[in-house]
Amino acid sequence: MQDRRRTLNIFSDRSPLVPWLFLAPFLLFFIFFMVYPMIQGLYISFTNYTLLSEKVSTVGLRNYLNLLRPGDLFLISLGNTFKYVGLAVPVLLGCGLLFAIIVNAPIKGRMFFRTALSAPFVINVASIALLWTWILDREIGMINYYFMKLGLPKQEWIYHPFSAMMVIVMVSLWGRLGSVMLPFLAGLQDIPQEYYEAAIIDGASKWNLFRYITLPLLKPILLFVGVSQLVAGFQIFGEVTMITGGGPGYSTRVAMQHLYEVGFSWFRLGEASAMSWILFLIIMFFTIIQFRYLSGRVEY
Amino acid sequence: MESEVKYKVLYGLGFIFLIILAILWLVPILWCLSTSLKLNENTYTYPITWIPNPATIKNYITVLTSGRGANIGVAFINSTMVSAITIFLTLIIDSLAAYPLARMEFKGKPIIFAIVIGSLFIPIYTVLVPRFMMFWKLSLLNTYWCLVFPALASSYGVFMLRQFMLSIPRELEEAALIDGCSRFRTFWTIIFPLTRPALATLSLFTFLSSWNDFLWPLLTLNDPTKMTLPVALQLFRTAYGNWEMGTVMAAAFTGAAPTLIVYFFTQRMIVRGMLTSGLKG
Amino acid sequence: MRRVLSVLLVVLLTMLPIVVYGKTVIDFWNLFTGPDGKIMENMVKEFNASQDEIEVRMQILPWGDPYYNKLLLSIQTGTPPDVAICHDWNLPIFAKYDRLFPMSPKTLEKGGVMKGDFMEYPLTAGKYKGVTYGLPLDVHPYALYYNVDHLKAAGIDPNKVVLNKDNLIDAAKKLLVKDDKGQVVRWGFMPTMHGGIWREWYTLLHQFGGTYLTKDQTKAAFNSEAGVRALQFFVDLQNEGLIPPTMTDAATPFRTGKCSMTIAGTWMIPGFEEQKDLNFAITVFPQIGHKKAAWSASHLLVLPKKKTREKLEAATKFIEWLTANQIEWSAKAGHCPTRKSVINSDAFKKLTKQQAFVAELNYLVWQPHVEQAMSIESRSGQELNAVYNKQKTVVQALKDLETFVNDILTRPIGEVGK
Repeated sequence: MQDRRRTLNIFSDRSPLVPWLFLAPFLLFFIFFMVYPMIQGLYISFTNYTLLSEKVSTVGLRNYLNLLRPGDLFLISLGNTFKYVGLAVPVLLGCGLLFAIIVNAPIKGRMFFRTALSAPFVINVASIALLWTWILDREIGMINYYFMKLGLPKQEWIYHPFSAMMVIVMVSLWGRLGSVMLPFLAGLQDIPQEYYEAAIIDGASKWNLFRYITLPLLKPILLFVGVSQLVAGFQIFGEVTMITGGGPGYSTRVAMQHLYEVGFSWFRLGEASAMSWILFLIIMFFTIIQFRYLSGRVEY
Repeated sequence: MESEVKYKVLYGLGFIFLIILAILWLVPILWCLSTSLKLNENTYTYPITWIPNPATIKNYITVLTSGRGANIGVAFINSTMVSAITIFLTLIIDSLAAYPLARMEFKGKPIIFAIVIGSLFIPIYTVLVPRFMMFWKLSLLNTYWCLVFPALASSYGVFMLRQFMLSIPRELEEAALIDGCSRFRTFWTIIFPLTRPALATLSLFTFLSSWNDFLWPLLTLNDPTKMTLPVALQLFRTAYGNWEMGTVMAAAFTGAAPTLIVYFFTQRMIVRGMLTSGLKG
Repeated sequence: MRRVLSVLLVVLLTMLPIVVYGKTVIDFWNLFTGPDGKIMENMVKEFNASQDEIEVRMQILPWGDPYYNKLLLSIQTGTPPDVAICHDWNLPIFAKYDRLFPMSPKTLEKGGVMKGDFMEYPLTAGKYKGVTYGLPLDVHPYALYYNVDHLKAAGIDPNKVVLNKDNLIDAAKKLLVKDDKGQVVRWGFMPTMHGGIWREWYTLLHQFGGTYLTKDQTKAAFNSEAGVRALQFFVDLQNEGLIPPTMTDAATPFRTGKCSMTIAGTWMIPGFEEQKDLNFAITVFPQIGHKKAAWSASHLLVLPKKKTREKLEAATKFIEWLTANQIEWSAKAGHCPTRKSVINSDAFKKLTKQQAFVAELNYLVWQPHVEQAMSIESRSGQELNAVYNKQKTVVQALKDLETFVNDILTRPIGEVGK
């Protein structure tokens, strides 16, 4: 291969700039709308910026310390978020895996079941919230109606602090099952049948099949889905805002809702930024832990 | 044989379990549909009826011609436009970015790749306030662009397309390069068309995430004529109270139908896409 | 390519109904998420049909924070509606920061403001530094709604329902119905309408002689004996099992006969009247304390500030029309007019249900008129509801609320900008 005339054209293929030119559009958006905002957000968190103010001044750590004030709703919201994540994510992952295994079995009508169980995940959160609020209406809703017919007591649903949280968990389970079940299904289908067949010949029990073949081979997917759902769980917003409004009282008030209110109803953008960074660090902490724990055991 | 009976029993139990699950999962949607076809006065009669009598599409008409704001028809258009623009730009930008990550070696590649993977899981918290301020200062609130641009900062597409590109055989490109094609032409005429399956899947995922986005449009769209569907639905709910549930359910169903329809036709692609998106990487 | 073209075509086709040739289109935002929303929708249609120059596009937004948030933001970002509703208590944040156009003297004259035809407080609340920014459209107090049939069946004379603490509790006991398992089938009294007991507590606070803020509006004054007694009243009712243990919204139960008495605002009238088998009546707010008081608020019509004044004339015409047609708004939506001539008119006097509100006009109590009003109202509701839900004690909630209010009053929402 002869070298033609060596051009100093930066667009020539030998130029080290070529990969960067390809990457440029994406990096442009990434830097402008991801990196720069993050840094700017950090800066704002140290100021007293409100939407209506023209003068801005830095106030040190005041925004952060204010979050620890007694009576401030941040800690309560954070606590509720933890409660929600602690309940919803394991349940979601567990059900997703279990249902995926069952649907993966050679049962007639698999397609139908797969579609039925996963369909809600494509529905937007507003529609989901609307229809569930209607179903769970205390007086004229469908579920209480059937409960009463079966002789069970009418449930308070969103009007009782405890059941309100359960409602959110239940609705998000219903809505998000698809986004967990489908990756697991894909992963299960990817496991070569020979592995199972060989193990069965060797006399392995069903449980052992699961524990020593299925689970390890699903680890990467488990990791990916687990982290996604964890992060998504910490950011839950639509279901809470539209079904319980954070109530009754503060019992279902979650971090994102509180941040939204502080930042965009009360316009305390400095405080909202401080909140967002704390939440970010917390989520990153858990994400890294999950990666460490699960990746260490992944077999390639 | 004993194990055959055991198998049949397990099969039967599994089947029943699945039926129960399917009912639990489908009933809410069906109830929503059923209510939407009832006259508002009939939505809270005792005993509950599943088949509307009389069945009416009056609610759907109200939804599309509502005089209390929150015009669902307009919102539908807005959602469609935003999704279309986002998909179009995402496909181009992300495939361009994925190419060097899949095929070229260059200084800084590990860093870029690490950024791409790392930013897959970044929560949206830290960018909410600053992005809002940015669009406000640029007077781009209440436009399609404030919804499209942030979506283009997502690296999911880059990652997914890169994984897919890895599986394209190198021979075709190498032949083209030897023939004197520029990198860009090679990309555009060879790689890009071959990435089509992944592009289709990425379009689907982008469509779903753009259409269903709630928090950010809620925040940035104040003008009711610019709202996207989920936000318009939320508004709709407040304009129509507990005693007009037929209308509210019609709105909810209208919001859910497009994505459900798309899902029914593309389910296989979505599942396959989840596989090839390199979850195992 | 074809896809793009077809999308464009659809877009163009659907834009047709929105483009109204020749008419000035004005946007009108309100927060009438109750039964009165439908009434306003009809009035808007009526206005549009009555003349050829102006077309009003109405938008109902979620009550409270979301509405005011969007309104403020829209003014801030330059795309506000032309006419909006603003509560009396929330005017300061708009007026102080110069986000509204003042009402023209012509409008005020047409409305009869100069002739003293308006109720005093709502009009004053609509002013800032002497300039009128908001024209009151209605006054909507709280009162006691009761199911006439239920009362009759329990042996209470529905024509003589003047309730004080003792006979309210007595009535609640008589009207409570349980089934054989001990589960409540019908509540005698449910105070939780519209998301909580904030307004009921506010009323009782005043009935016991207290106030929410100090006279100079710089500090909280409700953490007093009056405030405690007011809140304790509900706790006691709960402990005696006379009101529900959770914050169930009372609207549906009242409508479906599962509740005999409730305290609600004027705007529930059209909703309840829609229920064919509901025979209800209204009387003044029960007097639990030693003073008379009833919570009230007023809807003001305001003109958000825009970059240009081109639609101002059309907007004012609409406002003038609404003010002239106050009787229709009141009659159909259940509200009380703000124009004395309308209140005293025969057309209004015919509306027997609403006369209870008229009786209260002399002792209405209004929410604090400060720029932090929205935050105060939200937080107060949350703290009081926490007590109702037994998540906090009376003492703790009032103390936390006091800390919050004192703190937020020291911080103006934003410094005065351009």
